[in-house]
Amino acid sequence: MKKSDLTYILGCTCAGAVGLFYCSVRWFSINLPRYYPTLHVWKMARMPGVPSQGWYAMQVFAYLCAAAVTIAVWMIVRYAAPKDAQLRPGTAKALGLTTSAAVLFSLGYIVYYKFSHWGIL
Amino acid sequence: MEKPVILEGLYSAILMAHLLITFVLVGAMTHNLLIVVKYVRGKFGRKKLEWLYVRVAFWSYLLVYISGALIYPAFRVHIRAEAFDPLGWPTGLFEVKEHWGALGMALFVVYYLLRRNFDPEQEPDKLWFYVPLCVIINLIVWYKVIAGCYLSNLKGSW
Repeated sequence: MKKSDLTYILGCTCAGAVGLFYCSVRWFSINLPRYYPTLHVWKMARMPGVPSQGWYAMQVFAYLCAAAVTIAVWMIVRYAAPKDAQLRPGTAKALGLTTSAAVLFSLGYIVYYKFSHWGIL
Repeated sequence: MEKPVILEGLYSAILMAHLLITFVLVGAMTHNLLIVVKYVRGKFGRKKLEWLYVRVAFWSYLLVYISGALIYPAFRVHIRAEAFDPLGWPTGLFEVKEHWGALGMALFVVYYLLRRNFDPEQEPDKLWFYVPLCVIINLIVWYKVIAGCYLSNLKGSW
């Protein structure tokens, strides 16, 4: 498979996966470590009334999960697809539009969740 | 004695760098979009310039992202907790900015690698993802700029 085709497939996989894994932290209430800047410590537990930051761990989680999925797809394509396989125009279109929709959905969900949570909606 | 929050002494300097690099980012990314939109109409005359904008925007996004992550603890304690959280809505605006920013970093890596490995003129099928991704990244960048400037006007230092 051509390098550009492979990059396209893996890029779509990674972009779609990172957004969905990012949102999955909220969907499945996944407990991740939080940094407490006034205490200079990382803790799994939430301490009410003490400023904390879950953003760092949330993105590391999403990046690592998306990287794992991307590597899995890369291995499938590398070992299962014929060497002279080409990405068909219809497949490229479907993949591009589906991924864009998944990314927009993730961005939209973040807006909905945060604006609802903080009383904007 | 209470230990100071990490990098709070350098907050203003890093924030200023964050802002100045953002100017480069938003300029490069917006110009990139103007060229990418022409790809849809089959005009590929400014491919080299467009690739330059991608590289400039990618590296400036990375620097903006790192500088933002560095000042976040001081911002969280001295601005967000003290001024924004009691009101609610400014924190809502900020949190969308931070989460979109994190997703934007991953999307930017994809965007950069995609463009590095394909020629828009030779492989127009790949524009089905490249063009929407460019629009989405611009949306993220512009939201971050507008929300960031607005929130800094509300309370930019302590």
